[in-house]
Amino acid sequence: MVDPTLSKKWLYWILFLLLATALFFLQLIPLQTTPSNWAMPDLVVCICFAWVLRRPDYMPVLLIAVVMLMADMLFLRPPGLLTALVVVASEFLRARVNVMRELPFMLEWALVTGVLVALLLGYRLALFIVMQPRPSLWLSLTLLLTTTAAYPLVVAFSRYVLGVRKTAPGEVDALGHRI
Amino acid sequence: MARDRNTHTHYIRPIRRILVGLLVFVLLALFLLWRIDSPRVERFRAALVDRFVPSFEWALVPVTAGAGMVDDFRSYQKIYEQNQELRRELQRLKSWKEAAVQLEQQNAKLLALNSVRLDPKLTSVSGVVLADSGSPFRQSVLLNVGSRDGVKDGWATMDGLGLVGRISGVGKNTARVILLTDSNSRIPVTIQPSGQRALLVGDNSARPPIEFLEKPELVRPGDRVVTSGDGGVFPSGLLVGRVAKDSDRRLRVQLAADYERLNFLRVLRSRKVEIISDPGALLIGERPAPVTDAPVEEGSDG
Repeated sequence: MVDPTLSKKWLYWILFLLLATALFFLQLIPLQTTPSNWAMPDLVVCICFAWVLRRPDYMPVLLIAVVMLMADMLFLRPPGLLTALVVVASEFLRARVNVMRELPFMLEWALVTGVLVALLLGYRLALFIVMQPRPSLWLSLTLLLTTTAAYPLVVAFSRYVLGVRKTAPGEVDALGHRI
Repeated sequence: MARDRNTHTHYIRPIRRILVGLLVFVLLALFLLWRIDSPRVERFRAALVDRFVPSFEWALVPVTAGAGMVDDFRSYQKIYEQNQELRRELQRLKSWKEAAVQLEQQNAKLLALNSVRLDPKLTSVSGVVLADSGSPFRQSVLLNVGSRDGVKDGWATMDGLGLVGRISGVGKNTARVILLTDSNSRIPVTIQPSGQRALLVGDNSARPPIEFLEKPELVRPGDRVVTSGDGGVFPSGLLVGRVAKDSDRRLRVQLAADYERLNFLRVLRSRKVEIISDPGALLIGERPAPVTDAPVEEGSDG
């Protein structure tokens, strides 16, 4: 079945995998082995949220789970916890795609910030419940701040370079189906 | 799939919801499994990292080396000051060298007199740093030596000068070193002239604090900190660093190893620590049945 929309989706799935691998690679390069007191933004989560709100079909939930689980494993986080939270958050955003389509970017940014705060709280709460040591609060807050600040840049990059943009209401794909 | 979306929305949506719920459930179950049976999941993690990261070795090593070169090039701009500083340092070190040579001769003589047998089993494996932990929350590096090279969990890792950390997590081709700065790192140390025992507790800062010190007033900034070998994990006497006093009057350690540029690390093969468990047959004779344990212990005291 050679379906142009499907092959385009495939293209974006592979693109996301490549982007995530490149970001993991950049983070793993041992350039700085002294402790730093601020955290780089979590760009993979940014891309997830930006794409889910623009083209939910480019960001299937299984792909998010696989990539985030890989990140959990590589970066020595408790495996599965942040993945589960990001999957739930992406489903929350996915359910609001139709509403968000009409709204200005500022509101979208505010919503994503709210989701990121909820992620942080949920993550710390879960670690508290199972009596695991929580990561330093200061670092988590800088991570939240840099990730929030990076979100518009990721959106601009996705929109103008990768061509992931919101669909207009009633827009149809190549075969005439509603997107 | 794309065709079905509009026509069969009515039952696809609930099924999708159930599947996503199942996915989240599986992920949380993995998290709980990790909480309950951490070693098993951590072994899986080590195996996964072992599979994934070395496949990037061809890129990781040159990129790191390239960035290092850029850094080095930048430092050429300050070459005159560096030259001056190095000359002064060289002058200072010459006097130390003289002292060291004399001490070495003296030491050799004394050892020969006593016929002391030094530990012959303390050999090392060297490895290249492949990757760091990739997140500011954890301080660790990944070496390109693993169980293939006989590396075991718990072994000490040093750079040219001082202790860097401890092996924790060994794959076939890679091993993870938890650095002394990681918030999970706890190393028993001795502070040199006063001989006091303490614990070096990593706290995600460049200079980890010293804790559980009995008499802090005996310790001065500049004292040498070496591993004590307590607990039998580490060999004793490995250089860790020097004591420095923090602005909040806490004692911290200025680490001897060059954490700015961890490149080649030595993993020390630790010998099995022999544990002396029996009370000594010569003194108290054959150990009787455990019921009469207490009186025997008493007897051995006297």
